[in-house]
Amino acid sequence: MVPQSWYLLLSAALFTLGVAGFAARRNSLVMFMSVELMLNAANVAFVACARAHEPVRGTVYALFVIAIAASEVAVGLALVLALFRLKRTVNADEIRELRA
Amino acid sequence: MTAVAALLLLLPLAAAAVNGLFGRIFEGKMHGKMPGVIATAAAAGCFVLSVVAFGKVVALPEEARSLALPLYTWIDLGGGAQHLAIDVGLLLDPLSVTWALVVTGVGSLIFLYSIAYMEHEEGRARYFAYLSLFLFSMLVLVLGDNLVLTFVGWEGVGLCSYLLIGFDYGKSSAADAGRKAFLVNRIGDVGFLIAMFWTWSQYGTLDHLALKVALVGVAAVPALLALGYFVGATGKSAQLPLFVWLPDAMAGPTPVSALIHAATMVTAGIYLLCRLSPLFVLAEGVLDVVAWVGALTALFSGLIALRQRDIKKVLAYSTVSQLGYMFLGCGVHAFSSAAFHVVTHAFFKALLFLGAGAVIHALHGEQDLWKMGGLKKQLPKTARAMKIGALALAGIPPLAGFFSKDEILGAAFDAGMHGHVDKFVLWGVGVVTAALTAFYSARLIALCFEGESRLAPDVHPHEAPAAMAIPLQVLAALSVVGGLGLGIEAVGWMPLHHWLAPSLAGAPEGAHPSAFLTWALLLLAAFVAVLFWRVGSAWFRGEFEAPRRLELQFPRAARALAGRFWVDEIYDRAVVRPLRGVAELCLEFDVRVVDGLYRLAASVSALLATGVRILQNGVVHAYAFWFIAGAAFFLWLATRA
Repeated sequence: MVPQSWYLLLSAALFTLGVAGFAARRNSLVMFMSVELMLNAANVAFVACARAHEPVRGTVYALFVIAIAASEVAVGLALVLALFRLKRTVNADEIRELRA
Repeated sequence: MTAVAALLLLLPLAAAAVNGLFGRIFEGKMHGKMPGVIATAAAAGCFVLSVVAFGKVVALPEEARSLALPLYTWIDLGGGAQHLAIDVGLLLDPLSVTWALVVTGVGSLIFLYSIAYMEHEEGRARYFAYLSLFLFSMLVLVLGDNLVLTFVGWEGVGLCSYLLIGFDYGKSSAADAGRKAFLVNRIGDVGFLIAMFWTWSQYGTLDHLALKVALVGVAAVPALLALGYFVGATGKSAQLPLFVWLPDAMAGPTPVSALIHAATMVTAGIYLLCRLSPLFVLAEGVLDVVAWVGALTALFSGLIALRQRDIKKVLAYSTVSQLGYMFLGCGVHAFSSAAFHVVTHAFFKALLFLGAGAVIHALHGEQDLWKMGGLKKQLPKTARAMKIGALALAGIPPLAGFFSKDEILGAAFDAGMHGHVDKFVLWGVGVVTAALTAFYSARLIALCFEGESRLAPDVHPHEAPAAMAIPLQVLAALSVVGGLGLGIEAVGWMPLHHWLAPSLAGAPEGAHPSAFLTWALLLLAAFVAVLFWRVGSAWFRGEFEAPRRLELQFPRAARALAGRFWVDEIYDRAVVRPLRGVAELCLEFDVRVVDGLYRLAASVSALLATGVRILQNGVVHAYAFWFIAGAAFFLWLATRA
């Protein structure tokens, strides 16, 4: 059996990848994917802990995260699409209307 | 019975809801007639239910002809001596049922007419939604069993009137007219409200039947209390000095003018006077005020009607004038005669407005009488119907208007014989107004249908479609028999009066004029009406020689009449402009002082925030950086412990 720490390491690696991607990339679609990566990192940690300690609660959390991620994708993609129609670009650096 | 009465209210409300919510869907399909058909079906259903209600009430023994039907408690403020509880309930008695029959009967005909009239208009569904809502409000006003509910209906019809006057809201004249109607009515409503509060504190009830009981044995009602209700009535029924909104209200579609601003809503003031007649007869001197205001309004607007060019304006001023007659009737204790005139007036004035609508429709929107003429060749049916309406308005026997108007004049004369000599003056004013009425009615018909055609060359009038013609025919028939059928005082045939008697305060006891005098007055009224009809007819049929000569002889009087005695201008100088001045001062204060304070507070916080503002640079990655840094910092804090 694979020890739990491996899973947590995988989760940490995925999360770091997501953070780095979000911080480094300029394409808002890719940034969006990075966010998904972070969410899935959390899911891996949830399921791993569920297997080790308490089977029900952790799995249910993971299911919640999946559901929320799905709806978030729907809204987020629509926003990116609308943004593209308006600006003809998805480059996050070129969109800085909200500066004070 | 409760179900019938409740359905009577719910039918038009449902039609309003359906048309208001789903109207857009119907408008496209079914050639756009769907909204009108729904609303008309609901209105016709209401008429049937009103007839059923009438049957129920008429079956009761004469002295017990009132059915109170409580539906539910609306407001209950709990115990104590002054226990305020207001029910939503309906009162079916001769008075309310009579009004309900007129409103739903004439209303259904006008709804039917509207289907054809509005066929090519944008926003039909909205129109019929408002119209159904009006019918609902009017029925609440009439059938409500307490003053609060009556007031709710009162405001409801006011709202619908506003919405329908401004139906064509893109035109600023229509929008302005709607606002004017609403504001002028508010002045009257304040009187109504104050009187209602006072009634509550004085007699401890607002229920119509309970109030009637509470007033038994009361020696006198405070005059100001009754005057409050009267002020409300002058607003809604367009009497001096609050009549100015009604002529402007003609900016609404013509069927609306017929239904709301001629046949039904504007008679709400007379309904209120009749409903509160037990209260009014106890208020010292108030009925004299009512009578004088009514008579002067009748004369004043009758004079203005003489020289109006717009066909609808003539009818509008004529309506104000006829409402004045009804107030005069109430003022001389002849409440049932006033109600009689309400009924006949609803027939012939609705007919005249619908006829005018048919003419305007045929001429593609032309309303100027000087651009009509000779139309009886092209529009024979409309011409015939309108002539009947005008004859009834003029009081030519044996049409409807003759009997009801004559009764009011007879009652005024009667009051004069009882020692109130000033009532003879009222009677005189009434007779003069009757002459004016006959004259301008004849002028209207002559200018519109007789003589040479003065149409614009590119206009080719066509007779109205069936949906418009049928209501005209029915109303014309009612205008012919409405008077004969409902009451002829001189021969003692007065079914409407006997029917209404239990709901109204009785006339003071005393000697009635002899049969000879009654007949003499009747003949005099008939003579005056016929004479002035002939004069008006002759003057405006051909060359307009006589009116032109008169105009040259009395140029100032002619200008005053055409200028409507400059009432609007006087109001503008005396009320509107001073108010505007005050408003502008308030605006200055608001902009400089009030807003200034806020702007100061805003600039101070902006100043304080300059340092932090650089962070808010609009770059997503900068935000992400701070976010991650913050999260990392707190994570570090958490693991350090």
